[in-house]
Amino acid sequence: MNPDLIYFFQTLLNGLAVGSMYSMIAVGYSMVYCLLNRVNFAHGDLYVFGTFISFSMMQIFPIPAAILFACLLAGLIGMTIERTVYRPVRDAFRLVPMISALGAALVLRTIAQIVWGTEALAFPSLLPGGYLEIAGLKLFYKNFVIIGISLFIVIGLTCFMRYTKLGRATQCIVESLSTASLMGIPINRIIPLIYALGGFFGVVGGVAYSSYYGVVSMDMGIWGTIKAWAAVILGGVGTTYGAFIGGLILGLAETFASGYLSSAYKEAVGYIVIIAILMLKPTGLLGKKRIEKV
Amino acid sequence: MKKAALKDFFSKKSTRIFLLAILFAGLTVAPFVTNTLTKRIISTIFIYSLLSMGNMVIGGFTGMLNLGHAAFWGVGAYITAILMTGYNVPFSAAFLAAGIGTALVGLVVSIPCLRLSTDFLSLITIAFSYIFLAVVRNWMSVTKGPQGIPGISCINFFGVDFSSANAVYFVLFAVAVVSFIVISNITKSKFGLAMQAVRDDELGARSAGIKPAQVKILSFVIGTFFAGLAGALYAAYIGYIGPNTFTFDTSTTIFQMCILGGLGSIPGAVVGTVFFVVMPETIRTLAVYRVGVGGVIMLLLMLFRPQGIMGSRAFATKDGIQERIKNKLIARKVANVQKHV
Repeated sequence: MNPDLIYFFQTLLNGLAVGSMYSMIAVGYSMVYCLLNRVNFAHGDLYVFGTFISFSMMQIFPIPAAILFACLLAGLIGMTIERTVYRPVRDAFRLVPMISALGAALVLRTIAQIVWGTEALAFPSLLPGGYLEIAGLKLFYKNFVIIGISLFIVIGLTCFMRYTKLGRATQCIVESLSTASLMGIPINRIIPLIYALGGFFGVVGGVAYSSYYGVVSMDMGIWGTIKAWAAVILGGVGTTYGAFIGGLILGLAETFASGYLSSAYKEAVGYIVIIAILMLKPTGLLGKKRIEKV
Repeated sequence: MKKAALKDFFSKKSTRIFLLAILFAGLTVAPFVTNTLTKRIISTIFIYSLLSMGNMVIGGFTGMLNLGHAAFWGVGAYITAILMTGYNVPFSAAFLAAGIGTALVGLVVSIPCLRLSTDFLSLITIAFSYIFLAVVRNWMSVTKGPQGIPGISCINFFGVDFSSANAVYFVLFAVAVVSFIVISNITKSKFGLAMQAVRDDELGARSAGIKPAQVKILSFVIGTFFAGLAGALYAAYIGYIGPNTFTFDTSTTIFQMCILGGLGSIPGAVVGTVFFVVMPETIRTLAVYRVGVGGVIMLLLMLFRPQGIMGSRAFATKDGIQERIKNKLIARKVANVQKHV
């Protein structure tokens, strides 16, 4: 096969894998974001915190148990953050919950720095290492595993939102918080649960990301928030598969930018693509138009 | 009774002018009676107060969460440094160029709010602060990468050198005072009211004939203009700039200054600046936890007093913890009175 074409397909595959990891982090973020339409600055630091916990747990427990434990703990921390940081200021001015969440993120980051230090740590590679070669094209198994996991999560969450009672109640809250609570939906039980789910799947994405690149550091936190947020807004707020597609586009844009231009500016190119798409379609690719009423 | 009298005393205009005069006199005498360290701290406060006042216009008055203010500061500093070391431009010209150039960058960054919601702008400002660092660290031929630009000559207005520590102090003092007067007059003008209207209720503002997108962009340009001026002063004051000064952490610190002082109040920005510049100097052992301390302050303020020390009522919550305690106390008082009746 033509070497240029091989390079193209290789970049495409890598981009899909990177995008899948972004979308795993973004899916949880999307659910939290669309609930109250408030930016959640704590999400990035929460998932990195969970990844750090799983890293420490792996020294003691078998790997699957460690990851599960870290996911559950991150869910618990997510619920705590909702209870202490969001709920008291839920009806306050728009900026207030954003700022308090940023405060929570900084506190989480400082705790992690005290416990694990400021340096990046080497994360064990949990993904299969080999590859399959077809006509000069190297198909790495780890890319397929990551794409598979993220597809599984997205399909699962979409089914959860559509077909379970809990998921439908969540959609009601997305539509209108006050109406939902008037209809007898226990909003103060469902909202923490969604925050917990966000933390849970965030850590799944975080573990995948860290074992793909073999590194975990606290700098990934705020960066993850931005990536997840960008993916959610790009795909459109309110749907899980929107966040998935947004994450894929972001990953593809970055990977192609670093493959064909320069790796130093890959993030810049990713953002320029997002801003360009959003300027043309402000609601995101799959988002519904929200009409503001007085 | 005593509390009311105290409140009366502080709300009088004559008292306020008296206190301001004392502060002014104190700051004028300060360089002659204090040591170098104190002078340095006060000079840093002057530079940072330019930043926090600019960010206050953007965040406190127009309601946009700007988390990339340090990057705009960096743009101003790098414009000054490159013009002065590479092209031998005099400082006064570089000073203006930094302000205007940074304002132009701010204009470009804020253009997306023509079509997008305000929350999205904070994403763009965070992204901008990271992109700025990536460009500065990798564009070796212009910014000299991570090692920074040394050897920037001192502040010099129209051929007069301000090289001694006292002269620099007074230049920074003058710029800070002038900027304070300009910014507080902007916020009290018709445009300032328009900014607050956009912050409080965008739809209402639009129905009153205000164009929210225009107001947002213009206030962003004003805020970043002052960040650019601060960058120029910083570059010439320190004499060296590197990318590590203009990180995301610095941006959050600048924003924390605004929150602590009180969103929606320009004097508040200065008060917050004084706290966040003096705090790390006094508790050096806690310097590692500075970010965490800032986070805890943000959290507690938002939960108990979102309007900060002297901020606008627009940020005060109706059912925050502070109000709830107050209501409980009032209820207890009422119950007591009823018992006696």
